[in-house]
Amino acid sequence: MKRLDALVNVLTESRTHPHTVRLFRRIVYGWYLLSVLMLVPSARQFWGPDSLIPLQPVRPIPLLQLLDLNAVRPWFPLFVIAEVALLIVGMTCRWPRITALLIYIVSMNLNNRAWVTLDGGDNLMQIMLIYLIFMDPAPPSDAPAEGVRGYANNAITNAVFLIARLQVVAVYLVAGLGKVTGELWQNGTAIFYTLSVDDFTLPAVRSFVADWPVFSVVATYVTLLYQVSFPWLIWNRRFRPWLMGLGTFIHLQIALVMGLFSFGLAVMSSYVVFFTDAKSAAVMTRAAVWAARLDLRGNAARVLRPAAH
Amino acid sequence: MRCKYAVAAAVGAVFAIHVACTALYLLPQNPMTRYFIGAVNGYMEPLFAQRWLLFAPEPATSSVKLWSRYECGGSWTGWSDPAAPLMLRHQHNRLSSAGKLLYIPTNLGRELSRDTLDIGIRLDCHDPACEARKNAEIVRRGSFRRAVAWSVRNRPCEASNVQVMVAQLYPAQFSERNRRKPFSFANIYDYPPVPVEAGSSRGIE
Repeated sequence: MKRLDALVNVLTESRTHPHTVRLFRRIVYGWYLLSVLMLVPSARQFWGPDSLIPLQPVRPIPLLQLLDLNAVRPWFPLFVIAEVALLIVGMTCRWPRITALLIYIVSMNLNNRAWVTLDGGDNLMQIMLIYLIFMDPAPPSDAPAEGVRGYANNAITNAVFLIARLQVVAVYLVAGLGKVTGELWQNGTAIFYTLSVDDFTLPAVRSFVADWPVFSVVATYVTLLYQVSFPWLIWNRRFRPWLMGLGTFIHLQIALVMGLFSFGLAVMSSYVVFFTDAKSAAVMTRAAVWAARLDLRGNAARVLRPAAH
Repeated sequence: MRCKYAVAAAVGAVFAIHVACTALYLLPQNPMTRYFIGAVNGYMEPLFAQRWLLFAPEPATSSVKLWSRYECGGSWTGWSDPAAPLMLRHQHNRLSSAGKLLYIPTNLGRELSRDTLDIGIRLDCHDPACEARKNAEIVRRGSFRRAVAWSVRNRPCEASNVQVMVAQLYPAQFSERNRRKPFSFANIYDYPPVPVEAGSSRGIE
């Protein structure tokens, strides 16, 4: 009974990772901001009326596919502007839930119109956008701590934060188990083939993997081992930094060498949910110091500085 | 305390349902799948869909290209990949929009291949008259018109006619890695030439 009381208290009395929730929100919205700004120079080809991207065959939620409507399509620049503005507001953590909801709606409209350009990173981030609607990023001192509203706010934030962690674990679990049974992963040539395909390589890298087969064999088994062990070892605080370091290295390679830039960055962004709260606070403090150096008026520093408990 | 318990129970129930649905949704197909998949998909698909690309269990082993050739001033050019400049830009700058733009011709090639296969299976042609019917049906498809529109937008000269081809290229296999071939083998399907006006994007659904 005492353990149950303790569990209920942990769930309802305070938010377990307030700084990590805040940092995670900024990182995810930062990822979306970078993604949309990268696409802006070719915006017409992704979202414009004469885009060659076919419409999706099914429309489960019409509100998220407004750009499929002929009457709305010419107004795509408004969606892009709204997305950028909302993401900036979202990163300041003001009006968190309504902003998060609006960001989800606008992002999904842009994503659904350009659906053929989406990759696994977009898929993961779309799910994280939903979770962010339910996470309260307010500083601990601002949140109501007592009463049903306060308990519910804390409990929802804590539960959804844990769901976000489990989602990342699920991705690795399914990906790892899927790869273990794959012939090319078992015989150590998976990385060789991927880095030999025109779409996922650089000319110098293609020559390198042809000349040094030992590299692709080692890289294949390291990737496999990493993916299979992630769901178990990530919960161990001693292994966690090493695991995330290796994962960051692998996903940087995916972003820069394989050219899946947004995918690599999306998975790295999702690692933030495994930061301890102290680590997140330290990251935000450092960001605030950098921002203060760049911004003489100190506006950015005020926005980025983590709130004290 | 009772209030806390009520909140914890409600949030815990939603948490348990979501985690259970996610787990069941991601489980490989098994003899029990049919008992729960309808309800689980009904919950997961609209908002929490998780596609093959998220897990990528199989490595990429081929690439799909949409190649074109053009009739300019009465003579035909050779086959070329209109997306080649984009690929070059993507390789030089991973932060440009070229990477995502490249998905468009790849998807056009896949979409056209799928339509061609569907029509081919349905008509099961064994004579030239049937082949002509098949080609006529392909040319009417939105996927073909989009592919032609892509080629026309990226034409290198003032063309009167254009022909497209879908090529699935397999890179040099591991055993032939030292031969420096651009690719090991290819599946190709070329389509009938059409006037460039067929690539007008107006009215393509």
